[in-house]
Amino acid sequence: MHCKGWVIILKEIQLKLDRILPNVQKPGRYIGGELNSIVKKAEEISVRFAFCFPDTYEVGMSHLGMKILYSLLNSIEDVWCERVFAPWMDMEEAMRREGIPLYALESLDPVQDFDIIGFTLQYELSFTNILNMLDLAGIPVLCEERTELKNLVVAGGPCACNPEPLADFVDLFMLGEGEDVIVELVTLYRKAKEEKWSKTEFLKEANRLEGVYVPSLYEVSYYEDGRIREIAPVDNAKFPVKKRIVQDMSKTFYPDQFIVPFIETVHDRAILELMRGCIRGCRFCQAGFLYRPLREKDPDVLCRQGKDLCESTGYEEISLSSLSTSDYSKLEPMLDELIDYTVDNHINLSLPSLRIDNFSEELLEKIARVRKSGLTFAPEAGTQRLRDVINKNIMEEDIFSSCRIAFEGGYTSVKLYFMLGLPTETMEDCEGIIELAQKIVGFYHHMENRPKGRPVNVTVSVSTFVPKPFTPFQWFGQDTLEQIVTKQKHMLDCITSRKISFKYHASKTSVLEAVFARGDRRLGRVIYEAWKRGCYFDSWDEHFYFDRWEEAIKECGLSIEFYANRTRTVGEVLPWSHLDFGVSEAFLAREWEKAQNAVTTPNCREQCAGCGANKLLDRKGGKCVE
Amino acid sequence: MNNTARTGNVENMAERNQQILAMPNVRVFYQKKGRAKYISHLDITRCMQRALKRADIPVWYTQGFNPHMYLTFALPLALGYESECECMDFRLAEPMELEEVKRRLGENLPRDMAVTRVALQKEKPQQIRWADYELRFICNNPEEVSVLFDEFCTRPELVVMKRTKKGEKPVDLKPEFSVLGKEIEDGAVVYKMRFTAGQKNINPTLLTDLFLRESGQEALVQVLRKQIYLEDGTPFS
Repeated sequence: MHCKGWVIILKEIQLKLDRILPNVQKPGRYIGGELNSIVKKAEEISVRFAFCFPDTYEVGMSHLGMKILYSLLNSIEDVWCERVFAPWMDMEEAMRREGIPLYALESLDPVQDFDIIGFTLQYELSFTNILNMLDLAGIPVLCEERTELKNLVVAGGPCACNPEPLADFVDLFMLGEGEDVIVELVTLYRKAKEEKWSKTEFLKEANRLEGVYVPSLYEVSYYEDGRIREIAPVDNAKFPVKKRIVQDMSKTFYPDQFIVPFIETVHDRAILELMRGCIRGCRFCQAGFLYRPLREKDPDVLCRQGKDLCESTGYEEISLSSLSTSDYSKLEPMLDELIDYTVDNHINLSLPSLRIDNFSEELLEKIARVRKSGLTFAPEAGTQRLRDVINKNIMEEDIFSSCRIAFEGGYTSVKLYFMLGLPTETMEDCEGIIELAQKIVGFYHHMENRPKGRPVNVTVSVSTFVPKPFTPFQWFGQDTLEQIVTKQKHMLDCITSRKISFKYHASKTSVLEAVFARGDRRLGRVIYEAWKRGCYFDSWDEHFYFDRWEEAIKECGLSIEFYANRTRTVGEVLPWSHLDFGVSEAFLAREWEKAQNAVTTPNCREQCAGCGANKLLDRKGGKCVE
Repeated sequence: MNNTARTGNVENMAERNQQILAMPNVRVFYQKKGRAKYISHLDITRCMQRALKRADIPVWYTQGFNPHMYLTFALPLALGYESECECMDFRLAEPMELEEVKRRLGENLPRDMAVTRVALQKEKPQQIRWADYELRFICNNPEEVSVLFDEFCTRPELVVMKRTKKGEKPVDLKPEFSVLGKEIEDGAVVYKMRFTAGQKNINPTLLTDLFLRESGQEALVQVLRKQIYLEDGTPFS
């Protein structure tokens, strides 16, 4: 299966690439051939799957989901999954000039040759790249112009929880976790291809698979004012559409090898996934609700997977991945075992996503044995009242005790993350952010055993809050640009200490993100028009053209305010109302109500809040957490 | 990071360092072809570190605050060139048969790279003086290109601007190369040529770029480095 050796077949495309690659930036992005990449014989394959990441190689190759699904699909003998990334603009220009269509990295074959073209939807601002990649592949961007079963366009990932803005371009979405459903989908496709089904026949049949959503089988009607009247299934299509989850994290497929990129990528290391889901229920956090229920992976399984990955890749770093590392119930015994291995083998261990309220001295010691970098905490809001609104469930004392442990441990720099534009936020809350940073500086200076001779630095980083579907804030209207800018300016004025660095940035991208996160099908035309105007790589600041987006939205007779800034009433049909991600609307509404009264909800281990996600677990009546 | 090495007592450390000094300095010759030609020198270094690690070859690590494998490469290859004679040096921290090093590393390299020979280090990389290349001009009119290129090579002076660390400066390529042979194939003419290499290093595409620019010919030039030599013409080993 994995053919290694010296047979180098020169394809025509390689000569063309020889002409252009010497003149583009980072040619290593475009050539494949990495260790552990999988090469099969195309003539022995039943289903060819192009796994497309709608961003650059460096970003896409850092993504865990792609690594899992790539290995999983390639573990099926007659399926060949290859990788495709968005070429950077210099490469795209050269490709269009030389007549090279978008190709996959393993075979260098054009994407047009593939049966299934799958996109992963990690962030809203990558949507235009999907259109651009299809276009560069010579494939029509609109579903209705692709009439054959071949070149079926599918998508999955977190943004598939509201896939409506992409309904014009993507034939089928996979909701939730992909490990099981993607295999079922490919199996069905193999059958359809053998029996020569039409695309329509296939889509109808695929929509029966749990976790598959075919937008063309649902009709949306609107009120005059733009709100949705009804989302109705066509031809007895299932309703609602349920997301898919993996039942047992310790038994589910996990790769024992990662592709090792030649060039430096954003995250180039072994990754261990501790768990999916999160017990916390922070009300702003979409991931915290989307990935429910909580499922942990067995520590022995983790240690074995970490060892396997390091041995097959030669990586010098393992990173632990989850939404909240310190909430993993067996973290310390797991670390004890893993650190013995990593220390003996010159491997670094990194622990992102630590919570401020259970950050212990023992844990710090364990990290310190490994490496000393800066520490980052995320209080998210500046006052206790607002932290209660968002259900962050941490107290100011927690922040100070964590800082004390960090300072005593020799750290002199801490980074704090906050959000602006949270529900019920006032100027007082914004001032609270700066006051908190100021207090930490003062706290440092009053510590007797602080690290001597080094100045303290507190970095305050604020981003703009974007309300997301399937969270208690899904009804909330985002602050306008003007409101955010006013708040940012006011905070700047409040800073008196030079030990505080204040980081914030233009929030126009957050506005667009808010539009698409909660957008409906009518935004398909907007995406198309904006792309035609040259919008893509929108998540790259230097290529973000807000004015073109404003024009496109206006031309389609829609408005930013309707999608981004309008507060919805509970009960309104939302574009994703026909999708079921486990958490019930009643639960989200309860949480929304509590938020507005600044009432907190205990975490899942303390007390079950009845979100409804446990019904996704096979073990009936079972609890999510022990 | 090796904790035991840090906390171990001083005598043991000294003894161990003695042993390490006695450990052999290994030289690996390898090929870099096909898709790997687009991998930069810096990326190859990381790729080799990981391959050595996967292969579980006991490479000596630097003993500083941030221990890392100490690898040196004799003659960095330009991006886009293929090579049959790349060379990497390192020191072993524990004894291992050279054949074993060769086998293990060979099994752990990416598809388009392969180990050709593993030996003890003999000459210093500073002694490298020449390199032989195969230059393949892919074009529609190989006969014509070959006549023009032969003629071009006989000019008394071939001055190009060469980029150096201190900015651009003119270099006369004429004394820096010789033509060893040529062959005309279907759709290509292949030249075997020798260029100055080492402390002063001349990339063959400096010459071919100048040729294409001045003759107005259209050709794609593929470069393959075949061998590296010392002053007296014996292969570097």
